[in-house]
Amino acid sequence: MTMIVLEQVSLALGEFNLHDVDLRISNGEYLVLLGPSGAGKTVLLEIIAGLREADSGVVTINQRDMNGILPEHRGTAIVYQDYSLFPHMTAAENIAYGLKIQKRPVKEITERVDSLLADFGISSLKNRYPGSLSGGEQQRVAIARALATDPAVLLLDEPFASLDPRSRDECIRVMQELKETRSVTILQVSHSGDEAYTLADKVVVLLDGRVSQTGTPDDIFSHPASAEVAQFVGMENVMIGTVMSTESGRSRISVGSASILLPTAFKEGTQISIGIPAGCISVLSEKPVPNGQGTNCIPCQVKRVTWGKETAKLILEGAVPLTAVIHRSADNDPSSLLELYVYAVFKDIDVCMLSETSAEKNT
Amino acid sequence: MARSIRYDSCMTVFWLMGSVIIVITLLALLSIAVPELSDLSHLVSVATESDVIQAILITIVAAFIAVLFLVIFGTPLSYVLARSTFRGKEVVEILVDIPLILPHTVAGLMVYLLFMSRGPLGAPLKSIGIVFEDAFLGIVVAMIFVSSPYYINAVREGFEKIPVHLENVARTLGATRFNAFWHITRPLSTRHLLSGSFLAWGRAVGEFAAVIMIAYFPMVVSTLIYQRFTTGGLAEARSVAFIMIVICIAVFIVFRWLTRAAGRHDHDRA
Repeated sequence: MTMIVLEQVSLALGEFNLHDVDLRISNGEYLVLLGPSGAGKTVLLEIIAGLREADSGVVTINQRDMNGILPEHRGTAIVYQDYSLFPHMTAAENIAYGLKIQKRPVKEITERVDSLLADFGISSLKNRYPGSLSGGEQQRVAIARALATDPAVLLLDEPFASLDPRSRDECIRVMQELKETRSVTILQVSHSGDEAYTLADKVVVLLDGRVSQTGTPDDIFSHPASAEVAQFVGMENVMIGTVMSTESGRSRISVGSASILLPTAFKEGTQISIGIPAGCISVLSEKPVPNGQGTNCIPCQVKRVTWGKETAKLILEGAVPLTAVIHRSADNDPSSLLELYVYAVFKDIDVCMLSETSAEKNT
Repeated sequence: MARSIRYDSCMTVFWLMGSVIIVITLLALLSIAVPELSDLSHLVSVATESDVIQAILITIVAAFIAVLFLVIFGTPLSYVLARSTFRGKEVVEILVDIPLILPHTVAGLMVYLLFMSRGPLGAPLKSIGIVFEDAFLGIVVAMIFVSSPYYINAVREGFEKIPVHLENVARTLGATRFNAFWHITRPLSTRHLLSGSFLAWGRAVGEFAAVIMIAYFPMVVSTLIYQRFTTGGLAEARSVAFIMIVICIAVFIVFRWLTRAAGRHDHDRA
């Protein structure tokens, strides 16, 4: 069953713009709305919660048109990036607030608050004021508060953005448990692909106020629909080439002065954007013996080595600039590669076709 | 122990310049306090005069009622100004600030023309027995008029400091806008509500020009001091002034204590 449907929602608000946003969230689904800062993600959450009015478009929650329905009657619960705990109330009072508003019996409120505190492992913080809680603790109180009234959907606004890495991992674990045990419908906005990968059932990429792609995390990260999405989800080596020739179901395109083999046949002259994930590029010091068809091999020079914890990123300069990521191990010191002439090798099937223009597919 | 601040020429010069103001206030206070405290019997005799006691009570109570009126009617206006944008908002803002920029005699004249027994509001209200001219209520309306911008601006500033996200969260948890205001924004703005009230009260207590236009009698303290100064002389006026200084400082100390207790969870203090 589809829980929340947004149809053609548009809003112009100074620098924020939403253009004809369509969104469907099913019951119990964890949807991550991915987009850069300033893409209007928070505004979209506020539109769903009824805190802001869209210029046009329809919001439906549980088959009910939300037009004219006040935020307090929508059954949504929002958790902001800054947690927005009520500073004059203790953790327990914060969680109890929604229940008190609903005038539930005191006994029921106490039980519910206690069980939520226990579920989130924050029973010991019960009587503490938000000012004395850490970011991660505040975050959990905020989520517990949002869940107290059994909302139809939980709207999370960059919930992990301002946490230190340890609290962040902790909170992601809390969200994973929440997803497994409570079957709440969650719409989370985020600018981080990692979070989407870990938590999302479905990812919607919002760029420049438009939905650019919808799909599973794998769809989005392995098969970005456009060069913009590819760049946003952190795919390296996004470039545009022209199809030169087609042979036995493959095409060869020229990018700069390099030629790259693609696993699909395209009509000659087609302009095509491709992305080559950095992790798919092997860096070899000797030219490999061609084994089978479909291997690309581009000679280049290592221009820069950027260290990571377990990997190193190499900036390669050759007929076409490339970025490769290699794993570090005891017998492989990437810094010794600096300035060396190497071969960047990758399979044609690892190349992502992002978009094509001016000619249709020729299969 | 903190290390003492090293010699800092900028701060020293600023201190010297600023101390001009402090010294003037201090000398002014001393020039009243010293003669009064050296003649306690005179001070006590003035303080126990029924005219003086009455004027002080009228002033304090009228100012208190004016503040009460502002709390009830000014708070909603402050909230509207803090939380909404609408066409003509600037006009409303100018109207709110008008008493601030007008000479007080002009403000007094405006209040008088409106509320005098022949005035557009004064006449109909007189017909149902509510009189402002030379009456206690006249003092109250004059005080409300001149002190309203102090209250409204202070409280509005307080409301603006409360993140709208807090209200938004409350709304999605089921609170109506009024609930959100009452449970969240109001308690978090206590310090500004108090300081707005205190500013307005102080302004109301000190009002003279606007008050005498509509109500020379019954006398407020300012009127009494002026009258004593022009008829009885300096010593008479000075005793009343000294009593008023003591009362105002006492109220100020109580106010400081109240706001300190109230501001515990204030956002801008966290």
